[in-house]
Amino acid sequence: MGDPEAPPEPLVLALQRGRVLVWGAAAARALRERHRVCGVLVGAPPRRGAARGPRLPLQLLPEEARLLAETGAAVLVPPPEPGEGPPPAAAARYAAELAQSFAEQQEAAEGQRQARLQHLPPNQRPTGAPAAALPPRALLVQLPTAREGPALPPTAAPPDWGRPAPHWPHGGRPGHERRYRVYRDLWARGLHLTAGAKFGGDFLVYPGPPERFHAAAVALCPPPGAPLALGALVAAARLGTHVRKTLLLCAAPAGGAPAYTSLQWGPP
Amino acid sequence: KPGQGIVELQSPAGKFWHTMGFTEHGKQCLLPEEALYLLECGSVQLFYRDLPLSIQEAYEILLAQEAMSLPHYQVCWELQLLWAGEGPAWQSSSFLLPGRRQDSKGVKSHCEPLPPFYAAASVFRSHEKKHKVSEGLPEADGTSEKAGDGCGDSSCLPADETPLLEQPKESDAGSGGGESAPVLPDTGQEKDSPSPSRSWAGDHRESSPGTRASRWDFTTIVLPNVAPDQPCTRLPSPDKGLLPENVPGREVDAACWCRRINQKREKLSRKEREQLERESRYKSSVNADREVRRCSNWQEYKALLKQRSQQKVWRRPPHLWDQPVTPLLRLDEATSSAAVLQQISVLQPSHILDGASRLQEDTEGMTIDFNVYQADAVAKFKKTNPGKPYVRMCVRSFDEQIPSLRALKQVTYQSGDVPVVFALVDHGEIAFYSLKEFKLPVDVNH
Repeated sequence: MGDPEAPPEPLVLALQRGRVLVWGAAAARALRERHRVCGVLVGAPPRRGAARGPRLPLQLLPEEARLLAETGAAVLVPPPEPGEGPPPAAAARYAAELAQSFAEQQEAAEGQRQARLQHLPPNQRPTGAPAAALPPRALLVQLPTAREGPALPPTAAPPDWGRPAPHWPHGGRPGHERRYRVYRDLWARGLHLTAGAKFGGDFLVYPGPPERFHAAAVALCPPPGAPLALGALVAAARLGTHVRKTLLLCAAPAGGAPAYTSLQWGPP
Repeated sequence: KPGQGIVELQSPAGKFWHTMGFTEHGKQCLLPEEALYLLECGSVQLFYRDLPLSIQEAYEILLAQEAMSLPHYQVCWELQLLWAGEGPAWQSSSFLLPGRRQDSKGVKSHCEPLPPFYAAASVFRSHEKKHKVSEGLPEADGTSEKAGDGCGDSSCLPADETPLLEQPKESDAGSGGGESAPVLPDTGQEKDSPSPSRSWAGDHRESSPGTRASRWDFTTIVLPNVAPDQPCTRLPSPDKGLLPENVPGREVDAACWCRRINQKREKLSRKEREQLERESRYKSSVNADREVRRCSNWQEYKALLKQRSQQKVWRRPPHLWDQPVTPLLRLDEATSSAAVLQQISVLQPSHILDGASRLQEDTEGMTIDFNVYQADAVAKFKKTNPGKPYVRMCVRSFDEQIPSLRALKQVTYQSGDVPVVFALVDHGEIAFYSLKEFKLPVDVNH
């Protein structure tokens, strides 16, 4: 058991070509509960079956990932290089595990069959040597979601935020920097933020967890210095009004304090 | 096998083999996105270097290529969900233009109403475009019909990019497609015309059976078939003796022309269709004119027209016509408000495919990512013969710019008759957009 005061282990975020995915179920839950970061579940749901909802992995906005990495709550891990591959012992170990699992399943199946036979009247029980209860093809195999093994490689340095890299192409992009400053500021005030592309903005601002609240505002971060066309402004404001959300125009210059303007469409 | 980007099946495939996978060198293989989807569904287990892959590893390995990335994959399974049940099949296909031409729909397009643009040519040409030869065709049973090239006169019609190819309704004899009325050179111009001129003269002859015995025996004349199902685009040089004077014929390779024609089926609204019907009741075709029928060849027809135009006497007011700036219309041309509107209209209707054939050399445009085939009982999808796709999909993200007109034209042209849908993916949200074209209504009430 660790010291209860010690900070928890940093969560692992898989980074590939600018997209950040969270594969561990526990990590996804921790993100939502502890860090107020709510991503989007983007896994393909099964075509048939009871569990038709969205599944892991959880995809995060680049701004969310960067915030988590900068606060030390998580580590961005790019996919491993295709090196010489796992050691040959791993294959043998897998085969051994499979064999053991098969033996256990066969035992369980045999036990079930015996139990079923007990319920039948004696004259209907089959005579003769029983065939194997579980043919090899019916073996249940579990597909692990996340990569097994130590998730955190020993050398995981954070990407350079200022420069684009093959796995972090957002570095240095003025749009990303602008949005990140706004995100960081709003997050620090205790608000929940998610992607706002549904409503034509950059973020959606929630007063509480998105599962329980409706979004209060649509945040838009226009580039500074550029004239904002009145038509675009009216369109954005109208959209916000139609869905009963405030339009929030955000400006967070690098050196200065952030400024927010909220727009609500109402009768004169 | 990450090197080739495919996954090989070790045990025989199950139910999904109907819609996914392909065979290479005798082995059943799957594309990366198919394999990943099946892995998430739990239908297959992926092995790499003898160890099973977890889903995370599979994502990283299979989605590492440029061609297939996370948004593509998201659109893939989103499509599967939308069309529930068996789901559509997708095929990532790279486009080769010559191959595409085989799949595009036939070159049928409507004869009337022509967009005002094309009828802006002289009155003579518009008459001839309405000429329907179908009544003469039942005699020509054994010959294959020819979809002539109407594009020889692109220099006549100003800035004309896609000449509308005509095909009258199919003849009842079932002898294939209809005969088209090729656009022939004007009186004053020397132009090369491909061999349609020969068939035109012959058909004109055919349409007056009874007044004169036909000089042409259609059972021996073979008209080349230029329809897309069996294209025959190398037309040999026509026989000099059959051509009218002033018209040199030459051998032509119609392949490049076939590409330029409008391959999208024109959808008329209900109002336009009703207007078509009304017009067809009252307008008469050129053939109904007895004097025209008496002409047995092109020369005589031209002479008749010249004679007619000389008969029309009209005075030109000198203050209007002798100045550098003349009126746009002559009095006899103003037959309807439509004709007047044509001359004074500033906007030209344009088609999405105008000029698209020129853009094919530019390869920096968008490419189509998927073909989506419908999976219902009507559409029989077979992997070896997929048939016509229901829709073609381009995957984009919200960060990118709206595609430019040039890129749109390229993609629409590549797609042929099938509508193109843009799947915009942003952080897990997918929205499908498509462009719909429509004609601006023209205020012509007649």
